[in-house]
Amino acid sequence: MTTKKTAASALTDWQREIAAVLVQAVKLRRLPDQIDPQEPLFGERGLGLDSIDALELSLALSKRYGIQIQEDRAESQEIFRNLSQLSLYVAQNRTR
Amino acid sequence: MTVAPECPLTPPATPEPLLWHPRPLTARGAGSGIEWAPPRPEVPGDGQGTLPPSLVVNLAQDFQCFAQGLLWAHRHRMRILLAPDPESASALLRSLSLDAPSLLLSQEASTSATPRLVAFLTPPSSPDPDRKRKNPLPRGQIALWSSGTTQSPGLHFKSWTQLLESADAVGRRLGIRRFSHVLSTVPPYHLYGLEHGLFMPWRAGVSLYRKRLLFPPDIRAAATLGHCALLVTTPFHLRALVESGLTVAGLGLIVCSTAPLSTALARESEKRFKTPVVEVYGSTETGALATRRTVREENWHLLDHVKLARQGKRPCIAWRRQGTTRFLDDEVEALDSTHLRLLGRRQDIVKVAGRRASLAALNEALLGIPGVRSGAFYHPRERETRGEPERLVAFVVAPGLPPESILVQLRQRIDGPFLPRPLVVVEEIPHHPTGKISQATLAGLYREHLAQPHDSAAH
Repeated sequence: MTTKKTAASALTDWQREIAAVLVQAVKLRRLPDQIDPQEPLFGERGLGLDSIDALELSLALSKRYGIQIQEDRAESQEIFRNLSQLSLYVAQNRTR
Repeated sequence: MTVAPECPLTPPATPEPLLWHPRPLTARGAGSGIEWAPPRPEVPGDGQGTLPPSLVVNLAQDFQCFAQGLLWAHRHRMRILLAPDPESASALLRSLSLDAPSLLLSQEASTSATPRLVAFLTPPSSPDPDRKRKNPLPRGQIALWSSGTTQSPGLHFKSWTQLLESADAVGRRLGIRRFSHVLSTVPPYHLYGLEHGLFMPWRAGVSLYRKRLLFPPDIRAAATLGHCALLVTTPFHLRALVESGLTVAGLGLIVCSTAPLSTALARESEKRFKTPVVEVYGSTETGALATRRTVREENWHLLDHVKLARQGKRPCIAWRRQGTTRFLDDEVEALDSTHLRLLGRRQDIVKVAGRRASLAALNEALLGIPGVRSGAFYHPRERETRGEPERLVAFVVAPGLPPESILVQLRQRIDGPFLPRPLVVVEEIPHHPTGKISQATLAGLYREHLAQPHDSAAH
C-alpha cells in the first residue's frame, strides 16, 4: 500500500509490541506505529477486523502471553475495543 | 439507508440463558403449521404511515434471536434473505433494486457480549406505491447468498420443506437425540449453520447454545453445560481449537463442513478431543447430502432423504420424497445407490499438460503437510498469465517451514504436472467467516504476488 497513515498519538513501547503481534496475527497492511491506540479494531470505521481475525489474534495472544480470551466474559467487548484496551488487558492478565 | 432505533425483538433476559431449550419445530407442507409464535417486534415506522417492510435480512448471531426473527418473518409472509454480513446485505439489496422497504435484523457486533437486535429500515425508493417493481425474491422461501468458493457468488432459494428435510436426515444419521446440546462456530445465516446448528437440534427438541462460538475457551466452557455436546464447526475453526492446546471435555461428536477436512486434522482432532469427527458433504445448492468418518472412510454415505440416480451417463442426486433430481457440481462416482466417491468439484477439475486433477484434492494434499496452516491452489486464467502456459500456482501459510521442504512433501503427494509454479509463501490468506478461501481472494493474491517478483516465491 502506498498510502501512509500517521497515528494520531504516539504508541508506548508496550502498545507497539502488542500492535506488532496484532499486525502479524491478522496480516494488517500497516506498520505497528500507524495504528492509532484509540482506533476501533472491529467495524467499518476502524481497522475492519472480523471474527476470523479475532480468532487468529486470540491464538497469537494465547501462544505468546498465555492469555485466554473468552467472549463469555463481560470484559471481552472492552478487550477488543482498541489497541489501548487490548494492551492494557494483556499487561494485566499475561501469564508469561 | 436510514438507521432506525433499536428494535427489541426479545425482552432483555437477565441472567441471559446460555442454552436455549426449544420446543420441537414442526412443519406441514411448505413451512405451514409452524408452532410457537414469537412476539411481534416493534418495527420502527410500522403502522405509522410508511409501508410495512416486505423483506427481512436476518443477521443475528444469537441462535434464539435468529430463530425468532425467522419465524416472525415467515408468519408475516415476509421475504427472507440470509447474507454473510451487513455490508454484503446492503450491497445485495441495492443490486436487487428492491423498492419495498426492507428490514435487517442484526446483532450489534460479533464481539458483543449481550445479544441485541438492531433494525435498519430502508425507506421505499419510490413514493408511489403503484410503481412497484417485481421483487425477485419469492415468498415462502428462504433466499441464501452463497459465498462463491468455486464460482461467482449468487442467490439460492430454499423452501422450508427442503431445509427441514435435510436437517432431519442429518439428525437421524448422527443420532441427534442422544446429545444434551449443540454448539456451533458457524452462524445461523450460513446454510450449513442453519441446517446443522439450528434446524437439526430445533426439530428434535435438543438444546442449543445461543451464541455462535468463536474462541477455544468459550467452546471448552460451553461443551460441559450438558452431559454430551455436539460441535458444528469448520476445518478452519477446528484447526484453531487444536492449536489452542486446550483440553475440551464433554464433546460427543464433532461435525465439520464448508471446506475439505484433511485426514491429518481429523485424526489429530479425534485423538485430542476423544470424539469422532464426521464430515458432511453438501453445497448451498443442495443442502447436506452425505457424511463420512474422515479418519476411516474415503467414500461418502448418502443421507436417507436422497439416493443416487443416473441421467444418461452422469450420476445425479434424487430426492426421495419430492421426486426431483439434480446433477452435482462435483465429479462423483456412484459406488452403489447410497455410497459415492468424490472425484472433485466440477469447476475444480483442472487440466494441466493433458492431465486432470481436482483442485480440492490438491488443496487437501497441501493442507495435509505438517506445519501448513492454510493454503490453496489457484489456476490462473489465460488473460492473467498473458498467454503463458497455464501452470497451477499455490499460496501457502506455513510459519517456519521453508518453501523447498513444502515442495518436497508435495512431490510425494501429487503428480508432477500439478506441482505449483510457483509456490508462494504468504503470511496470511483472508478467509470467509466460515473458513473458506474465495476465488476472488486467490485472484487478488495472484495479482499481488505474481505480477511482480516476490522474495518468498520458490520454484
